[in-house]
Amino acid sequence: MKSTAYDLLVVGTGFASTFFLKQYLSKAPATARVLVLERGHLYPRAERVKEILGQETAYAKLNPLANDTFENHNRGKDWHFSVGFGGSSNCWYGCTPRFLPSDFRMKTLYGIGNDWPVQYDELDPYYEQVEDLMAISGPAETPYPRKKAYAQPPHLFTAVDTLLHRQYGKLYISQPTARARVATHGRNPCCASAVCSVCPVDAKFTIENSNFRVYDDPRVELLHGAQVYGLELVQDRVRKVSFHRNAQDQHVGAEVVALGANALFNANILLNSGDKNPFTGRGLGEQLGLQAHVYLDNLQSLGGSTWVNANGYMLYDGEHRKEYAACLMESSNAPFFRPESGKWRNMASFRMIFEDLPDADNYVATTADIMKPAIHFKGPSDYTRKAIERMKQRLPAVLACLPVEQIIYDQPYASEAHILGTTRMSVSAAQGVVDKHLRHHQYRNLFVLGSGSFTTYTPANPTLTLSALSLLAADQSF
Amino acid sequence: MRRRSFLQLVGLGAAAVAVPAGVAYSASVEDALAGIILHEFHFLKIDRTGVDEFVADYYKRTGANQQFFLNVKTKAYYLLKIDSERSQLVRTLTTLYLLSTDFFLNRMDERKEVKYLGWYNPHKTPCANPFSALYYPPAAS
Repeated sequence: MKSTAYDLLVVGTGFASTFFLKQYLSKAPATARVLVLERGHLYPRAERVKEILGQETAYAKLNPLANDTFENHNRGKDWHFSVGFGGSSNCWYGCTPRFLPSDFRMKTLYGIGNDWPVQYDELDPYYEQVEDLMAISGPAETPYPRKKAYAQPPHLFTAVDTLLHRQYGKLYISQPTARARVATHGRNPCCASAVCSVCPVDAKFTIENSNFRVYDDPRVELLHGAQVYGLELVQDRVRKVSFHRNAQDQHVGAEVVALGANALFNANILLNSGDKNPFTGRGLGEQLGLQAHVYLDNLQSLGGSTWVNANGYMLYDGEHRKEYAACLMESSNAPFFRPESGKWRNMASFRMIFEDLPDADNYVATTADIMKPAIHFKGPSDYTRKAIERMKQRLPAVLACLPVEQIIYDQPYASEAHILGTTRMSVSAAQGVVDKHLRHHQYRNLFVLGSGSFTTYTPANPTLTLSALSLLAADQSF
Repeated sequence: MRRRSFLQLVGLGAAAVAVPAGVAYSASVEDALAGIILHEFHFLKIDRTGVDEFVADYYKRTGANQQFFLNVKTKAYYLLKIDSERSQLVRTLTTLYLLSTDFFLNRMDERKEVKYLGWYNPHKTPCANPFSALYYPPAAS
């Protein structure tokens, strides 16, 4: 380290940290000193492709496997993320719908959960900023209000998507996505290879290909292989950050600290440090998804220019959310087919994604290994389970504009690859851990970034929103 | 899951266990994998040599021959003529096979012989999704 104390210390290099840092640097003086502690190392996309192809790469063993970094006390439940420089931008699939305005007002509108302390209108300019920075592809009309066009044109529909869009208009749209429609900033257009976790053509936005250059900024010092495990908390402030690097424990001071690990590790760090907020670590959750295969009579699902072509909002918002969860539809364009003569692509396939509610019995806890949190998750709520049954009743009517032969439902997936809610955002410490600027209610020089801050768990994908929250937090706090 | 489907699956599991060892070992795993594919697509004209080549690649890449129980299950599914509607294993195998052939490049023309082109791998050959707009542009969709 070049210093023993910094103006800002950031933990992690994923979406939450990087967007926060970008906004901070745009406002900080030339003399600012920033330290970034990243647990893992850069593992370039091209090297990841080599590993998948069975070729040797020196990068393959640099970072631990995600599953080796925590204790999972529910074998039926998976938690997906990526360790290393760029965090889960290295494994995400690039789906970037905004939340609906109603998602932020669940208590007021539906008597469910809590309202977010930040509302859609306040977040809108930061949504725009992230969408521009990621060069999002999206349609002209959306079910949520927008003031300007997306940076890239929308992806193409399949024939089935076209019929549904004709029926439902802006409730059935080309999916807003960070999988490029046209070449941009060194990224190639998506061509629907449908293996987005490691994109073979570098079409999706990642921190590695972002061209933000925040980690090249002369004010920023980036240390790889530095795993943060605790904070020294004195008189309601963070004084020092403790981390392990090169087989040594080290401690460094900072005026401001921003935790941008994920919702498992942010909580673990806080709990290790003695944070007594009763919500810290509690309410761990995410969405629940399952696949609906729709067999069609004499209609082929062909075309489409990306992995998820479209989002359907027909089962999303409304009074039903007083009783059961919203459902977001994703129209898949993976290379699925029916093994039946003459009917090969006479089918569509939709991922049906349900929101869930925070539950204190789903939580992160510390273990004897200070680096390794334990994850306790008892399962989705009745609110979500009920929504699955109601979806099965309602979907035939929703798809009545298609020549449906039958609908086949798979069992729910073990994960939607999101980790939410262990440091929830609230107006006061009586209801959550951080305020609308993602600042800890008690430790006011501590930001806790990322989707752990989500107050409720809408069915929409979280990355765009957590990135916008990081921009808002840094913009309004410095 | 419907009761009938559940019972079918339970029956499948029991049948897999009950297949006499002698019968299970009468076919090689390679023959069983090829047999499952040929049964699933019995209505297509399939180049048998290509199926054998695919099976060899499947072995090599998935390590299927290392897994004893999987091999027994594969043989049982072959002998019981289980199709992809009733088995995820069969669905995965047969989907991979057909995506690895020229069938979709030939626009699903069932009159043409189906030939193996090589293991379907989007990282080695990106943009190979045969149903995408690259192959079915909007005007032709």
